[in-house]
Amino acid sequence: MPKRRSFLPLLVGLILFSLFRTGVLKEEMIKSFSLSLLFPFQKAFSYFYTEICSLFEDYLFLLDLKEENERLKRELERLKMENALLREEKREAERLRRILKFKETVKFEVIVARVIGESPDPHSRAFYIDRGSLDGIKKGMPLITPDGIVGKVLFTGPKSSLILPIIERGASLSVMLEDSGARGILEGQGGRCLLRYLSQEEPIREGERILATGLDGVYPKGFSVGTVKRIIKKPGALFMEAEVEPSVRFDRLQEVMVIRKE
Amino acid sequence: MRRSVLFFLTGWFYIVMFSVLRVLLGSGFLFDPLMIMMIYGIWRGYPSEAILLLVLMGDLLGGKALGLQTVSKMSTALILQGLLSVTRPSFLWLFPLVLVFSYLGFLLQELLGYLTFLWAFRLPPFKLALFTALSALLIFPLNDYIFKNLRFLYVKKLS
Repeated sequence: MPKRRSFLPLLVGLILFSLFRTGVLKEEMIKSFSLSLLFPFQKAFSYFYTEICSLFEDYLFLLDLKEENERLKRELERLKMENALLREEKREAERLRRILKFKETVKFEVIVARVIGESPDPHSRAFYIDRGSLDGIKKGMPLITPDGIVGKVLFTGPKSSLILPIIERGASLSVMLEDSGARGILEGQGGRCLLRYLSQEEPIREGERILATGLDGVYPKGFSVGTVKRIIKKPGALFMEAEVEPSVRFDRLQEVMVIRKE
Repeated sequence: MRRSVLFFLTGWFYIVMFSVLRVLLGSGFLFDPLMIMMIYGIWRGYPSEAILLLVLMGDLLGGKALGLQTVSKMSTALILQGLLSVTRPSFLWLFPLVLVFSYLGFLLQELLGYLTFLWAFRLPPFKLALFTALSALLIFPLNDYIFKNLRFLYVKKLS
């Protein structure tokens, strides 16, 4: 049976929320501690599904394709296992090669990191990477992929960091449109992005590429952020808005690069 | 005490699992494991302190302002406690109950964020509450099974 009602936990929550929101208490220390508690488990589970599951998946897939006699089957299955392993390694090598190639072209010092988990809060699109303060990662550092800007470091633990992607509510950056040169602010809306504060006179068009201006002092100038998906003009409004298709596929993000310095 | 620790650890396990599986599942099937554990804790009479600790831990690991989830979830817990103290619904009521209270919790979180200037208000997705309620149908019996089989850890035998 449920216990009698206790207002104490709610009170504790309210006090904590007030202290953190007003800045009396700093979130960094406590968040860093909690990240270090989560990291070993996340890393272990992450390893399990990326390595073992993909291997198993490929193995099962290949099993459906072949019909051989018993003696050959054993030999074949051994080869299938090897093949599955090589396939996964090939996929990973392709991704890493792309990152390496990109790394050579950029003028920044970057740290390559792997995505190991997402926020346990289903409302949040924040995610974790397997690099932390011990690797030189600091709060506010921007993250990129060869496709474009990903987000920035929200908190760091010793071996992992929590990342605020540009699609998350509360994330914003200064951007400009590639062709028209129009400037605006890109805001995360929780899964999608909205380009705001665009002058009504700007000749922007759907499909136009959006680049970071670097004016916010966080994200590097000239990096792709996304493309204009739909222009929203409200009658009587001072500014127009646009829905943005991010350059980065956040659902399929596996490796990212953290920019250390220019 | 041991019962509370076991509750906390089970919730912690769900949080870690969900965090990693989200990358794999994508945004297609999302639910709130913390909400399910909170409702389970109230339903089965676990101490509020154990529920608070678990919710706080989830709050710490999320990407939002610290305390936001704690306040919204503990407010929901308080309302649920009030309801369960006057009536004892059967398992058949689990789905609608979780659906309603999940949505209420999400709504409170959204309102709190809006009132503290964190974001502009918008209605939370109903799909999330629906999937949370569906997942509760699996997680509740699973929890019962786990706690029943690990009862020896916290119940002393009479000699």
